[in-house]
Amino acid sequence: MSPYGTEVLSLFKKRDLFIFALIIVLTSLALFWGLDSKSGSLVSVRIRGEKRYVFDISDKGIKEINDGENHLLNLYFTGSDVRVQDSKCPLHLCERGSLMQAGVLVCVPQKVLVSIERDREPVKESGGIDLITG
Amino acid sequence: MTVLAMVISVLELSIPPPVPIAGFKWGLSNSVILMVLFMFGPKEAFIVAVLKVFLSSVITGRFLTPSFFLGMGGALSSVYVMSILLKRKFGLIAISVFGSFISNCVQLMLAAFVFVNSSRVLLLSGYIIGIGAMTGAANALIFYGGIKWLKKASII
Repeated sequence: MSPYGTEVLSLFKKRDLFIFALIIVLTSLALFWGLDSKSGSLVSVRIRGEKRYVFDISDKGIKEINDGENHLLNLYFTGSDVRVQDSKCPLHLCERGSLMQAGVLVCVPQKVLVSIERDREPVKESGGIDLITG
Repeated sequence: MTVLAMVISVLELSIPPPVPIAGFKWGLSNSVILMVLFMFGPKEAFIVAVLKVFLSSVITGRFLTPSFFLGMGGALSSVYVMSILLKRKFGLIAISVFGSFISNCVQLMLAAFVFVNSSRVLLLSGYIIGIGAMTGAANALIFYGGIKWLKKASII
């Protein structure tokens, strides 16, 4: 009983090959791109897409991230990796996983994105307050 | 069916997500949506998908948060493409895998350009799409097993 008839009920069909090929190619390209972005010695922090902090990956200790008014989260630097701690977001999904594992750390509710970079670019100023640290 | 999709969706929160980014989950309740799509059609599947995202976000206190919008965008787009592929008589694994692929693409785009406002979110796309393809295939098998079981029990 189905509006599509029971003949649709098979796991594989010949025409599926196109879909599998497309997904394998796209996944591999995206994986290579992601792996490539993992090289670099700088850790940048963007809030709402604006680069606000730049740290060195070999730093150690806890860095507080705030948007000028509110404390958003802490970044814990181990000396070779970075994790999110004490995020003020409701679900704390961003505290799972580390920067070197994923290449990027994202906290969607707080619009914070941590990623690895090669070159040092100037950090944007916001509202006349200079937020350069690290 | 809606209740089943919702319960799975809420229980899923206790399983660690495949990638460390808010709003991305295993999507196991998609096998229930696939089943509704197969048994009743696209209209019913859309209704169940919307209710699932709506109710599970209310239960987990995430209504109108970014993860609610990510979930809604992903669920609607995947039901849409899955209904097209089912009509064109593709195999079940390909249908489910492509549904998960589209759902992930939509969620990545929403996260990158609406919520976090940085295309760097897309650096995660390889992991998300790759793992999504595996969970998509798993969902197709769960759905296939479910249909076989229902047939055996002569419920359908």
